[in-house]
Amino acid sequence: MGKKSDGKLDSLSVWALAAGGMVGGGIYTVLGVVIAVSAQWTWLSFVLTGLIAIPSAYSYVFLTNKFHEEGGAFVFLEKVNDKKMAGNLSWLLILGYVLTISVYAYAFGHYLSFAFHGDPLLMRLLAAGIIILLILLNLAGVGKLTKVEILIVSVNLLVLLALGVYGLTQWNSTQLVAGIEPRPIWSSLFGGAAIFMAYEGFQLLTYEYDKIKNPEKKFMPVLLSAVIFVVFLYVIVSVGATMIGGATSMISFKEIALSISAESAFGKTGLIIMTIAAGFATAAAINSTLFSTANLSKRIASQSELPSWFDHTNKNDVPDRSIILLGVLAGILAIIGSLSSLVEAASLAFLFTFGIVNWIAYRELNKKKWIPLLGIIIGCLVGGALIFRLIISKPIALGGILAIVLLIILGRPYVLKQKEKTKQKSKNEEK
Amino acid sequence: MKRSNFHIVFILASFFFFQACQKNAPHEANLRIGQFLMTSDEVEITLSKNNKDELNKTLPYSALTAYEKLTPGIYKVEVKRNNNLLLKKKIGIGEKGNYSLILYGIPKENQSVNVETTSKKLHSIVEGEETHSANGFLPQLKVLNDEFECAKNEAKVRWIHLAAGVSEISAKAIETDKNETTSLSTLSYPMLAKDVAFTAFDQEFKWNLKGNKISTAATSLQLKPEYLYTFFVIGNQHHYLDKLEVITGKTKKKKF
Repeated sequence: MGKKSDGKLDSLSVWALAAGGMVGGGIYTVLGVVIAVSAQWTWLSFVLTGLIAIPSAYSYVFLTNKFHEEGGAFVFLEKVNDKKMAGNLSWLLILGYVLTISVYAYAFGHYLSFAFHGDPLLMRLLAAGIIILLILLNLAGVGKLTKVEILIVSVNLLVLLALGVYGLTQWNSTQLVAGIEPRPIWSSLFGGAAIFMAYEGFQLLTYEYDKIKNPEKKFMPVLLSAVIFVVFLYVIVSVGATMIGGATSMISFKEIALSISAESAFGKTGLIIMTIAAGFATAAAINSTLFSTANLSKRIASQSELPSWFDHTNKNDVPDRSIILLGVLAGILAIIGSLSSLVEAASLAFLFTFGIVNWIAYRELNKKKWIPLLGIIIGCLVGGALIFRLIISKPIALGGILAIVLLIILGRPYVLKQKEKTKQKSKNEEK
Repeated sequence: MKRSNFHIVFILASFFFFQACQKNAPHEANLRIGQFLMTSDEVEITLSKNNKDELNKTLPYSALTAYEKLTPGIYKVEVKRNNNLLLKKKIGIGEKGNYSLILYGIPKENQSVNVETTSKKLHSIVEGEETHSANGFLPQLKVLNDEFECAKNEAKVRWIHLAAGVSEISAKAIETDKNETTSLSTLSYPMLAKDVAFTAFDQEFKWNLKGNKISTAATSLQLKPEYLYTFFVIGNQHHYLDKLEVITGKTKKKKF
């Protein structure tokens, strides 16, 4: 498995990396958050948000194949001559990735700390520790370990599938509302809104486009099947794990929901297996997101849409400054942030990004325009629900997000202009 | 599919099949009821399933019952004062669960059923089970999850602010022998603090109103390992706004 002799990723590897990219941090962190809102309709929340992810995956592959270039949303916008929007979106996207890394680190810290009956301090130390370790590994040039990642992903998917299927064999629908009030069906919209980031991972594969074997033919079916599989997996795990753990425990222990479920089902053995799976899966997800985001930052900087400071590489050809800055920011957020806030902020960033990608695909497609349109419509619904949720429950956090977006839109041209001036000045002085 | 992969899938499938076959009758859950609705009248709480009453209690203010066994299922809960229906809600009781059903708030005369402020309604829509709204201090019903995790040499402690109308309250624990203090959060009504683990078991717990150094409630306990202690902090019935009362609930750790 992994890279073939020509150095290209085969279909199975691409599939595993795409599925693992989503599942790696997703389900471990978001399950309790969505159960609190949607209770017995949690599975529908995953289906609903899956109906944004599937068209978005279609749009990503269509546009990547059309432009024959890695780089995702940033490149798509550049190619359709919206450079300003490309710059704004790239900053927002980097923010989204930083939030995502922080969620994964948060989950890593909680899952490991729980297994050792650790206190909040240990959790924070573990979250910070894993980020520092992966920063150092990346700086040393170890970077993306595709084969290791594929192995971790495969084991991780098997463990989750096993837990979900085992839970389904213990069918008792009361468990879906154990200790809580049953919720109406529309609550699935608000539940899905809060956890959309659970699907974002697949688009990291568009940054590896030049490494994929025969992408024009294989990329579309492979990526779509991976996303569809993950939708089913989330449905199975969300129902199965809740059957075992009970809804109220999934909410009370939302940071470690799957460990609670695994321990309830298989005792200490279950806890150990789930802790190992969660630890490796979240660490792999942090690594691949950090690696890809740092390379994306470098690329954006090389197009003068980020200060050239980000373009710097060390002797191992690693974008060292980006790795350190992004990692440190994510580490700080993991230590000080709350799970729901981090997940919601990341979800908002990716809903917006996917909406833009679907919009470009809608404009560029001649046939099957309904696919990105479906993503846009459901995305708008879910995005609206998320903004409404934030207005009601976290108005200050929403204000903070909007302030950052405003700062990006207004401050980015200023920062770039200043950098350009400094560069010009030093050039003139040299002359 | 490779031969080795097929073997793994086969072994897993067989394991689940046998596990599924071993499934027994549903395990009963444990439920206790805390009556913290600020009223001088007794309150009647009825839990019914499939139109059959399963549990009925008439409780005065500040009463906390012992755990009672209940079969899993979806229950209708009705809360009445002087035959006037104050609260009506459906709740799920899961297998082997430990729950505290608590009632809190201040009922008005001839109160309608399930009265909710607009703020509470909005928060319920978007936050669901994680809504912690004061609801204008009107009556509310909530089920607390009494499941907890701890090491063998640990006890866990948490507390909940249920004194409607009382501002923020701070709590701390003081180790009796060493005089070491552990902060147990500052909460506004009706928030629940996170569990805090203790390995030293002789503790005195104190609650202060925000900005006030004199404690308005205190209790000393010899904690036991593998137990969760829940302090329900409520207003004193006769000196409601300046004195607090603490009701202590104890839950043993569930064995997996």
